[in-house]
Amino acid sequence: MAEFDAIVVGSGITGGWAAKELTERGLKVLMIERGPELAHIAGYKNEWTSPWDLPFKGYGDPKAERTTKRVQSVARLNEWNADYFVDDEQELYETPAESNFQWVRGYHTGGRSIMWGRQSYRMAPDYFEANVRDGHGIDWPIRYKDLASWYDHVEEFIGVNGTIENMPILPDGKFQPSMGFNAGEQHFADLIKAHYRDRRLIPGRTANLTKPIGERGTCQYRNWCSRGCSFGAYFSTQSSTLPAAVATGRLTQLHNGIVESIEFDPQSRRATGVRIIDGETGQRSIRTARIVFLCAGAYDSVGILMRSVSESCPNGLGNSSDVLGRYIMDHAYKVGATSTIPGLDQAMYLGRKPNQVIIPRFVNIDRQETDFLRGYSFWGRSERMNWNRGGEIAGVGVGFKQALRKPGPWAITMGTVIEALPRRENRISINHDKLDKHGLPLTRIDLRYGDNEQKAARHAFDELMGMMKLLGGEILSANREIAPPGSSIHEMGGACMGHDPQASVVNAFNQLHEAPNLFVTDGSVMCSTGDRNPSLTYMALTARAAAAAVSMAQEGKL
Amino acid sequence: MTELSQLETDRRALLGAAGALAVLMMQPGWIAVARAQEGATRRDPRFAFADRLCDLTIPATDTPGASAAGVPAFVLMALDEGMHGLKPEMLDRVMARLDGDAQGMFLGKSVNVQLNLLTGLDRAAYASRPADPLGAEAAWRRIKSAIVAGYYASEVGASQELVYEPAAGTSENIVMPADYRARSNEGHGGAW
Repeated sequence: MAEFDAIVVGSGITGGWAAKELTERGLKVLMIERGPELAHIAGYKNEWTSPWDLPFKGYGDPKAERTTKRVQSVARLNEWNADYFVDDEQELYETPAESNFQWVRGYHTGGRSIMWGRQSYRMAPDYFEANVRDGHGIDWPIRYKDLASWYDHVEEFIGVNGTIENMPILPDGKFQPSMGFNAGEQHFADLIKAHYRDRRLIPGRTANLTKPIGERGTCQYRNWCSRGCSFGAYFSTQSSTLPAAVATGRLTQLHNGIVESIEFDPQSRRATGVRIIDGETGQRSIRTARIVFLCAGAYDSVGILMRSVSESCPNGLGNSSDVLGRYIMDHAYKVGATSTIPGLDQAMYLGRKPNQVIIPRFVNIDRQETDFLRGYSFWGRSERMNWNRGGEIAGVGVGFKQALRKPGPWAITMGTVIEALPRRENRISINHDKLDKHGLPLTRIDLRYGDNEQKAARHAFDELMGMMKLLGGEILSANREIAPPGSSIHEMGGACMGHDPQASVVNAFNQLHEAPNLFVTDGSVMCSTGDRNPSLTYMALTARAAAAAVSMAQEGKL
Repeated sequence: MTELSQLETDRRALLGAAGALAVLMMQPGWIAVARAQEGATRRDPRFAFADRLCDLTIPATDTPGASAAGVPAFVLMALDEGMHGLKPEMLDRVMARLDGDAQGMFLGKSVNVQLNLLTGLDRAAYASRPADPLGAEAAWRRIKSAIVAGYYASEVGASQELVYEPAAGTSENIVMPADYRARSNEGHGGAW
């Protein structure tokens, strides 16, 4: 007799959604988080801390940036939120020098939902067909229509603000009122509209509330979301899905539970539970359930499946096809530039808008027109330069101080999100010769960008320079080089969906082909990246899979 | 009993909390620790020079300057800890340059002469990207950035010289009033 109806591994963006959907559908659920508890509000110890009360005045501990936070510092880590990111010297992984993958993680309640970027976009219908059209990767076993109502469901619950644009390449959703443009962004949008027929700059779509939802209040325009928000004004597990799951009375939470492997019965071909290492005592135990949802984060979920070795699964659970761990992807990132915007000296804003602007993909829409496949989008934000400019301009003394009392020139920064092609040779493997502090073999991540991403980066950079020229300002910085993979924190793939059990890991409802009561619903199941932030798609996939799991269980199919 | 508005209640609660904090800070332990740290920093032989650079760069006006805001200690820490690429020898290079330009001890000159000398170095440093990344001009740019960062992240710089606004509560596009003063929050934690 299983202890629980379902076990959810992970409490991040997808784990929280799985717990919510399964408990609300009547299941008794155990949610296992590998890190400690991080409570809503009470856990946000630096939310209101002033910079002068921090040891390094908010600029971060330089020693930590060279050691314990060396990798994590590529993300939005700062002195306020540094504790939300793992210790690089404790949570080890391997990556070859040629890959140099930057694995950014948060091990605590809510995972990275606490410090995520909150940008929430639907994949375009075309993106679900790109793999089969150009022959790269595994064909998605679902299409946009299969996910559309689940996007609705997720958007309405988490609260996404945005504008209706009627662009096929960027499906509209169920939006709260948009945060809109500031003057700099509006000016750039107007210039682009006047000079280009194929593209548009629009407000970002972000999971920050402009209207309250239940106990969650509206955004206070602090733009320090990654510290945690006691108003519950952005979507996180803590603010949103966890309270919903707890309210059912059917959720049990377990912290400091590192899932070593999946327990698998080769006779019934079913997962029976999970094997756990207590993160504090090192003791091992087994927890059982009729259904398991693997939501540990893309590459941790792959690692768990690979470590689930048995006589019947010598290469890991779900890996008889040798596809597990393959086709890992991450958006190519950091190509971009910053320009001043002249002519807006009297325009100002109140509040710090926690949002960005985007230019959705405009290349290779209806036909192949470039020397690379697929495309890219731009993201960015405009602000007036702040006092930080004092280190970049001449001046000392009274006049210098007086000048910094006023906002500086307007500037806009734009960057690219480039779709990375799925490649079989980009893969995760396990190094059984090296163990981490928990006694688990190290996860090895080898992801390299190819010629297609490099060509797209060059194209994007040239297009960006052309658009920025319209501003007539000064280019303050420009970067043509793609950052190491992992830098966008959009790691995907490794347990890709597909129809064919010999060529994919999970099916159209996220069930492991080899264990249908095991559902994998995080970024590992993505068959392609598209060119936009993927978390909304993970949430929609999870909600859809949870509904399917409960239906199947009720019908005796699991 | 007079009925208070919620706003007034909140304000009184805030003042009460501030008062309690002030009492706490008066405790002997707090004072001893603070004085020990301040004393150690002031005994640093580089302190006087860092202090001068800070106050020449951001002097006291109708609000306190960088020296009173505790920025010299921040700059010395930033140099020693290697914050944002700073290195301890950068201060030595700037001192050697200014001593050379002063044809003697920079610190021995009058404030006006010091300001002229520092202005000269500053103009040279920002006229173009310094050719020598290890030279005094490049070093000055880094140190000046640290002075600016330290000042506007200090309580004085952030909340007296500029406006510290933890929660704006609104997002609006406005025409900037003539007396508008920048919000310090916008740069906190940023690169420098």
